Order: sequence, then structure tokens, then C-alpha cells
Amino acid sequence: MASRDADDLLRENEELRQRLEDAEGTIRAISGDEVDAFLVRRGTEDHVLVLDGVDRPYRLLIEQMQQGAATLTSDGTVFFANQRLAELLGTPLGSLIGTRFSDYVAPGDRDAVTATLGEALQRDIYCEVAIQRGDEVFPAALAVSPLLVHESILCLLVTDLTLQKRQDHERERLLEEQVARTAAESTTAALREADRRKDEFLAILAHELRNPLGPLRNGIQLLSLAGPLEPEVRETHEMMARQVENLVRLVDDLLDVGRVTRGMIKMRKQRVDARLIVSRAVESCREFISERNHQLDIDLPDDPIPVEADLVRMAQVVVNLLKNAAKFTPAGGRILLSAERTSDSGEALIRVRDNGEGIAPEMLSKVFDLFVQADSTASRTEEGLGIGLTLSRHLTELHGGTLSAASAGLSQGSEFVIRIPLASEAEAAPPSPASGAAEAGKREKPAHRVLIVDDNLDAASSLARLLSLWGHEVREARDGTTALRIAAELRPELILLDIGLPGMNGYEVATRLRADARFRDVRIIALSGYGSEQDQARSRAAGFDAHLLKPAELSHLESILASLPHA
Amino acid sequence: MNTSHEKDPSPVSPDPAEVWELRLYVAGQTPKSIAAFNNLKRLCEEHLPGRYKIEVVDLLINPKLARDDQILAIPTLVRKLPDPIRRIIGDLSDTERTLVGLQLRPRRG
Repeated sequence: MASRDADDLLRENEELRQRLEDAEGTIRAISGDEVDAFLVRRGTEDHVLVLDGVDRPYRLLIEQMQQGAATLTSDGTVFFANQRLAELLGTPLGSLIGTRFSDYVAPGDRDAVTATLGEALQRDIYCEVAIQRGDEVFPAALAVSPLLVHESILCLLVTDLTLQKRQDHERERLLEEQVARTAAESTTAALREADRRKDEFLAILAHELRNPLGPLRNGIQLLSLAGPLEPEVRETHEMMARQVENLVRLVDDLLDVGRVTRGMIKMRKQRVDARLIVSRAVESCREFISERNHQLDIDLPDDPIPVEADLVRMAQVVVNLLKNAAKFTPAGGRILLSAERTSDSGEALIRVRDNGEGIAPEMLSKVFDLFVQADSTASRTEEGLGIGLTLSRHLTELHGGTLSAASAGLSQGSEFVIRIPLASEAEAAPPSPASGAAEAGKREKPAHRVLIVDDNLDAASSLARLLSLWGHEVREARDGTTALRIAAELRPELILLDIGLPGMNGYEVATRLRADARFRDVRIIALSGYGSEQDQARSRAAGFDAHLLKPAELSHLESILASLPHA
Repeated sequence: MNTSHEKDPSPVSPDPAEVWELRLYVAGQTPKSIAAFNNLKRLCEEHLPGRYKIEVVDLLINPKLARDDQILAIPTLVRKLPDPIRRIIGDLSDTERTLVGLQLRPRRG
């Protein structure tokens, strides 16, 4: 019994000791800040009472989020604010509480913000305003919502938009750049397309102009073959011959405009007197100048000025300058044209000076640009493609020379100076004009059978008469079918075949001829207004031996005839 | 308390095969609750590797569960097994006291 009592006492003691220990542990844990919640009993219900922590994440959220947050009374007084808002507004948190939020809004936006706060008790409001922080103003977004409607308390969120606005700007700038780049690209594409159309147009135009030139050139040749001419008629005839040659060259130039700017034009240089260049040019545009009542003074030295030049091209340059002077000088002006040699630099100088409109200093460097005219309003009243000066400068440069412009300013007149190197004195000047064609008929040459196929009556018949005069047997055909029939009868040695025939075109005629064993060795020459590389390749493929541009150079035809095997 | 020392069961893991069942009472994710859990986890890995089970009881979800173990302050750790039941109140940040309380270390005189 006693031992049992002793056991009970011992156990009781142990239990008490344990409970005391737990109680001590609890007190120690509480005072040592090791617990943060308690279980409390309200009636029969247990509740957890949290000292700290459960709402802590919410408080942390409010304090540490990037937005400024505040509760406001409906009149805009700050009730509670987070640290972030104090930082945004640049004021200590303590002095922020109790002030009006609108005090921190830039003056221009204050009324709007006050009105917004009044509305925000009814609904959520979002707006962007300028916030004043000391001397600095920055953009911010305000989100205002009702929080405790009965107490008229609002919830306000303030987001700093500085960075976002900067990014927006940057994005806009990039977008604008992108748009500008796209626009530039499409402009470039449009220009390229316009350039292509221009080349196409010029090719067609040149073709159309070449067609009537062929018969004209042949006709002039025929006249000289017809027999000796009266002196006056001969002068006119020579003038016509020269002008037709000029026309042919000009038409070629027109076609070459695209090539000129790329420097792909061929010069036919020979030793020539610069004074001749000048007089040729004057001959071409004397009328143009006198029509405008200008006085033209020409100053040439007595001694020749030998240069290595393409006479027609250089004359063309001078013509361009003279016409330019005539165009941009009011009627009744004075134009001075002179040629001289500079003893020191070994150059020939050709000057064209006028007392006309002159050139503004800023335009001086641009007058040689393609399709640029000094004064676009004035130029509209004058003819011209606006390619003259560009072409002239390129042509001069192809002679190893320079073309420069000078003017003291508007209404001060202009001066253009061509400088090209003198030809070396040592070289004799064998005058070898391509006049062989005229005498060709008289030379002892074997006669050949020639078939001319062209639907242009003038072109075919004038060429036929010319070749007949040279002593060849010539037949003509106007279309492909006739050509094939006559070819079978005539068995020609040479066929001059136009490409643009009605019905069966020249390529087809050539192909058919080549398919026939009888015509396997006949020389077939294409005559065409189109001379691009594709055109030439196509005619080669069809069986042509050569491709000549209309109007064919007579010297060319002559050498082709000379190269035919003797019958 | 020298006497109690003698009366305590053998303080250091009497049976290496025995699995300890521990119950941690917490109140949601309060900082002390989180700290207590982390401290307990670390202690167990160190002293009872592979032979302990921790049951976390969230009294915010079900306060009634506290009755069995007469919980007052939170967090509280209760050793269900091995017998006898032991309670350690607080976040278990005092490692020494926690080990003594769990009888994993002899009580110091």
C-alpha cells in the first residue's frame, strides 16, 4: 500500500513536473518572441489569434509594390499612404498624411484631379496626369476606386509613367524610322520603275525617229550619186547631209541617255580643228539664236587648234551651251563664243558667255545634274529635255576634258568653259571622212544579189536604189511571205531583213530561210530600230549573221557587201 | 534538478529502429510557423535521419484539432512517439533547448 502510494506520488510528481516545464516553456517562448499565435476559446469555440504575420504579406504587398498607394477622403485628403507614394511625391511620409493629394499634382491638372476624386466614389477611374515633385514634373497614371463608400474613403494608386513614356517615345521613334525607311525604299523602287519606263520610252522614241531617218539618209546619198550638182544645190545638199547625220547622232544620244550617265558611250575621235567644232555648232543653232534676237559674237584665232575629238559630239556640246545661253538670256541679249589655245597648259578652250539670267551660287554645282534646270519655272517655257548639260559634261569628260560653269549670280550672266587637251603636233591629220559611200558605186566591186525586206516603202526603195547604183542586183519585199518567194527566185547572197514586219516577223523569216538548205549560206543581216543586247541575242538565235541598227551606216553596208564571197 | 536526470528515460535515441512521430501546430504561414517548420526539418535530418514523420497541423484551418494536445501558443511541437508525449513551445530557434526538450540530448545540470 505504502509502495503504491509512493508510486502514485512519484507519478503525480512527474506529471506536475512536466506541466510546470510546459508552462515554463510557454512563458519562455512568449517572452523570447518565439510564438506569434495563440489559441483562444470564446465560449466553446476555439479561435486562433494571430499576433503578427497573416496580414503581413498584405502589408508587405502595399509597402513594397511599385505603385504609390493611398486612401483618401472624398475631398482628397491623404488618410493613409505607403512609403512608395511618399518617395514618388518627394515628401516624408509623415508630412504626406493629412495633406491634399491635389497639392502634388501639376497646376494644369489640379482641377481635373479634384473632379475625378469626386466621381471615384461611384466608379473606378483611371487617368493620366502630371505630378509635381519639387521643380520636376513627371507623368503618372492614377487609378482611383471606392474603398469604403459609407465613410467616403477612396483607394488611390499612383504609377510613375516616366519610364513607360520614354519607352513609348523610343518605340514611336523606331516606328517612324521604320516608316521612313519603308517610304524611302518604296520611293527608290518607284524611281527605279520610273527610270525603267523612261529608258523604255526613250528606246521606243528613238526607234520611231530612226525609221524616217533611214530613207532620208539614203535619199541624200542618192542625190550625190545622181550626178554633179549645181553649186547652190550642192551647198544645200551638203547641209542636209550634215544635218541628217546630226539628227541620227542625236537620236542615238536620246537612246543613250541611260548609258551616258554610266559613261558607256562610244567616241569616234579624229584629229580635228576646234575652230571647225565651233563653226559646226554655230551652223546648227544660228537660227535658234537669231529667233531670240540675240547678238552672237564669235572670236576665233587665225591658227588652227588641233584636238583629238569626235567632231559631231563636241559640236553637240557647243550647241548645247549656245542653246542654253540663248534660252536663259532675255531676248536681245549678247552671246560671246570664243575658241583659243592656252600655250602653257596645252589645252583648247571654248567659251560661251552670255549676259542673261545667270546662275544662283547654290545652283552652280547642280546645273550638270540630270534633268535639272537652273530655274524650273523659267525652263518650263523653254523646250528641252534637261539633259543637255549633263550630256555635255559627260561628252567633254570622254574627251579628257572638263566643262565648268561660272556666274557672278542671278542676272549677272553665265560663262561655260570647255577645256580639252590639244592634239600632239606630231600626228599628221589624214582627213578621212566616211565619204567613201558616195564613191563606192564608182569603184570596181563585184556585183551581188541582194534582197531587201522592209514594210517601210521609203526605207526599202531608197536603200534598193542606192545599192542598185552601187551596181548590185536588188529586189525588194514588203512582207515575210513575199520575201520567201522572191528569195527562192533570186537566190540572194545578202538579205537585209527588217525585224518588225507585218504578219510573219523577221525572226520567223530568218528561221524559215535557215531551215531551207538553199539558204544555209546566205548572209542575213537584221535591220532594226531596236538594238539592245537581248534584241541582238534573239536575232543571232534566229539565224541572223549580224544585227544593224536603223538607219544602217552606209559604210557598214559597204563593208558587208565587200566581205561577201565572189560569185 | 539532478534527481530528474536520473529519472529521465535514456536520453539518446534508445531504439535505432523506432520511428519518431512529430506533430507541429502552426497558424497558417506566420513567420514563426515557417521558422519552426524549417528548424524542425533541419534538426530531424541531423539527428533522426530516415526515421521521423512530421505532421503539420494548421490551426487556422481547423482550430479544434488543438484540443487533444492542449495547445495554447503557436507554433508548438508535440512528440507523439516515442512515449511519453513531450511539448516544445515556440519556433525551435534555440537548438540546444529543442534537443533537450525532445530528449535527444541530456539536460544540463
